[in-house]
Amino acid sequence: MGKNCVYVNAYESLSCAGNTSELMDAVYAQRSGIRIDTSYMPETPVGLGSFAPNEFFASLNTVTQSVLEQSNLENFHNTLLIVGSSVGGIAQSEQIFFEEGAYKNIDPAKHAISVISDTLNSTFGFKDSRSISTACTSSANAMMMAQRLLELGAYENVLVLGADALCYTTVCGFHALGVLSSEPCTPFQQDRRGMNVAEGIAALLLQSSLERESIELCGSGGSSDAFHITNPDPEARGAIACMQNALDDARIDADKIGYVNAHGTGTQANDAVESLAAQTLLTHKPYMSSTEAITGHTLGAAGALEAVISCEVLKRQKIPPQSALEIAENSEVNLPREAVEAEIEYVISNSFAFGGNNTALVFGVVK
Amino acid sequence: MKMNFKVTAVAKVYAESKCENLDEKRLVPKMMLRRRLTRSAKMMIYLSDQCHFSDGPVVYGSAYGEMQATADIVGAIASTQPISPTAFQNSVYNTAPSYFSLLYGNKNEILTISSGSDTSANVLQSAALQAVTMNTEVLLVCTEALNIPNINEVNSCTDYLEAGVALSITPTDVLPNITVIKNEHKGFSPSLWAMLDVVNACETKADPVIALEL
Repeated sequence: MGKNCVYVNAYESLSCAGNTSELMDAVYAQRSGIRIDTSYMPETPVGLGSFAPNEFFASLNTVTQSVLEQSNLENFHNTLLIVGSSVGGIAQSEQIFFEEGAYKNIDPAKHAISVISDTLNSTFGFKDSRSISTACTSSANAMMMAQRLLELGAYENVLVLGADALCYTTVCGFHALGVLSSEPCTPFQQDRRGMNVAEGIAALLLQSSLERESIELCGSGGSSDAFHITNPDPEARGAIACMQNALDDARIDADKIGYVNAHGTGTQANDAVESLAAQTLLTHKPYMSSTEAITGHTLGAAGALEAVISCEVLKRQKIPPQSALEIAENSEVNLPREAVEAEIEYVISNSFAFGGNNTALVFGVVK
Repeated sequence: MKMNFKVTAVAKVYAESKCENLDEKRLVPKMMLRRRLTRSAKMMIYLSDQCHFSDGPVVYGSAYGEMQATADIVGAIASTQPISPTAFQNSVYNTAPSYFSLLYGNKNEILTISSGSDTSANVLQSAALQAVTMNTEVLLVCTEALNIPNINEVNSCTDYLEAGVALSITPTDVLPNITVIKNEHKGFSPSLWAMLDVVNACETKADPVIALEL
């Protein structure tokens, strides 16, 4: 069976660094959107990324409307919606529980992951929808599913939306694991102190039709570490496998990759393993950086948000610097200190999650 | 777009409060790992064993995820107690299939679907896509583990607080020999209904083949 090409034809995002245009300005200027916060844990300051407290659900519609306006569609009635989220509506239900000490006024439908697709369906009337929740790979897996459906011709239009709001469960939960930084995170830095949890929304319209400003989603790959429920395999076998699977799916050699948009959370474990994976697989040392120093780690939204950044990098032909880097832990990876203008054909974007769930996406300029 | 799939195994398990005899000691001999498993993980491992499946892509589904771990976390925060790292590790929706992959060393792709009442319908669609894309056998598991203290404050439709359903499928050119009819499965979470339709239809049929929408 012949496969259709898959194009990213419109997108928008919202993070602590602003909308996509503001985000890219911040990325290249190395201006972090992270702020030090004590509202979740009064005695423990942590760096968090927030864009508009209490406006998360309204922002879902705003971001999606922006994509519709950029697109060649009049509406989304012939579009499949695939949501990627790790926490869904838990922020609302935990607030009710904290105030009342009981579950009785929690609406299960508003607690679940599917509250996001329900919200968007009620506004836009998508043809169909489904939701993926694989923790921090959720929206990267949504991208992979969209690619496969479009390649087979099952749909012509798929909107992928990654979205996660800040909530006590994730902020306090990551604190319990000892991986939160009290400052803006410093991915790949030798003495890095951890990650910043952040909220984010990113939506991308994927289509089988080519438009003037299309970026191609050339390939995707997944794998499981089968190593530990949260820690990545220190030998990076799962990370390497998903990146290799994505390259194989894109039918390109590793040395065609011009930029790696790293998952790069700033935790000791993630960054060491991801560096090792890049060092092992991408021996031509392409530029690599993590934009989570600017946006924080947006959990289930990260894959979609970093897909947006990857598309912008290809359009602008400009590599984002590794913000906040002083001394790199691994000198075998090519972390640019300043933005670099370069000819880039392909970008690989990594996402890794609890459970050893790994996903990589390869984007390319249209030839 | 519809494609045809051979259903190679089916299984289900359910109880009003707690599923007993999930054979954990045989299936998970390492005590440290066994003690960390969530109820959904135990159901998933039991169901996958019933389907004789330990290596290959998995599509898992749950509308509400890991309720006990989530309740433990918010309860700890509300009472200003420390959060258990294990509770947080076990709180993500892909916890059950992740323990399955750990147990068997399964390094294949895992997807977790959470689409409310449409969860198992979307698991069927997503697994069909995975099976066609990789041209291989795929395990589908859907569970709900709702048996937490005070769940009656919010549960009005589910009698079986623990329930799980599983099947394995592989692509085929053989024409379907079963028509799956949508039913209401009273007492079960609606998130399980679509897969219960398939499992019930296949249980009594030799070499069942079904058509699934991608």
